[in-house]
Amino acid sequence: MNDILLSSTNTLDNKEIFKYYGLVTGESLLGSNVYKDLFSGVRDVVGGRTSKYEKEIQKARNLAIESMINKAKELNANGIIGIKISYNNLGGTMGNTILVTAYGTAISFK
Amino acid sequence: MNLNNTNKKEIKEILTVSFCIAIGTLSGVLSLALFYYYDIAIFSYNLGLILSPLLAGYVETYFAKKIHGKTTGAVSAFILFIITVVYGFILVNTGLGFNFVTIGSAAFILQAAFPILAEYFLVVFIFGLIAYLTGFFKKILFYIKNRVCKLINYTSKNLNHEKNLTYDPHIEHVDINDLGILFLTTTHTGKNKIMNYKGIFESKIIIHNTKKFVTKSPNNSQKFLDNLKKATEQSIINLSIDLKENNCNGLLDLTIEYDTVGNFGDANQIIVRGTGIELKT
Repeated sequence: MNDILLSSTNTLDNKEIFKYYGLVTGESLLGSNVYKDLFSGVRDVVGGRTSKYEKEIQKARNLAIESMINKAKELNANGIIGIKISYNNLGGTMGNTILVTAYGTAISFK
Repeated sequence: MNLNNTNKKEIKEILTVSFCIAIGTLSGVLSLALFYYYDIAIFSYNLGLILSPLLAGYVETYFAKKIHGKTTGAVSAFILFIITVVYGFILVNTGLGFNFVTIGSAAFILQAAFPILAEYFLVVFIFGLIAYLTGFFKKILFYIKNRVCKLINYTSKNLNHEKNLTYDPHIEHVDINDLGILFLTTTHTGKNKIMNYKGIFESKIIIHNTKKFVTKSPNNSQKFLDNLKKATEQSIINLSIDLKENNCNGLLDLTIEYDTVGNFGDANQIIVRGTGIELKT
């Protein structure tokens, strides 16, 4: 997928981490669509898979991770550890807006 | 004997009240007829529609107080309200448009027919809604609170934290890894030796949610995302300042939280927290 090692763990066993660059983040926003949301809700009730919605969220997640990786590359890192990915609903009264964030610690390892 | 007296008294009272209502209604109808006969109107809106119910209520109350000794509730005003609506809007049907004069006049008619309900609606609902939307009372209370706090020299830790609740959306992009603090999402520091643990540090930023514009244009959505990114940066900058003041040069187990806050979810809160450490340099 990419030339940067991604890990949600705190350390890398059998690898020597020789430099910590610090925090790298990536964000993407999934804007809501009232008709799409409604349709997804209906399909959830009847037990169907909301594939369109899933694809949108997957796309947003990939964008956030890609953005995080690009920042790590700018720091000449070859790995990101302690990765955390979160999905936050930032919608108020007007509906849903999902913020996908990915962040971790950029490192260089041997 | 007593029963007969009571019945007579009740009948007399009913007749008196009926007379007052009847004379009020008659006055109202008569005035309405005169208003229509002489075509006393503004922008095609006959003034009788407003004034007749008021006159009916006034005449009825006047006679009730004179004869009965107390008011009868201006029932004739309500009757006139029905008569004016049926006659003025349905039978005559002047074809009034939806404009300021019509709305204002309709409000007057309702006020004449249902004074308490109309006043309650105007004072409590309309005024309350305006006060809530403009934050009028909130501002006054906030001002009073500040004045009182100043008078009694009251300070608290919460008041000192106000700097963290705002952010500058025009801030230039800052390299968060060049702030003199090593930010780590991990709980390990590898070969970097930890000299001291300084406790939990947290920074919070609240920004207004522009959500209602997000779905209409991709540009607005991007703007919202940029604001969130900048607010996150500002939160990390605030945290780094706090860490430096406490002689830290690193932060372990960093987490970033995004929440929706406010009465209608009209604001977003960004919290950055972690464990402050002093690394061996």
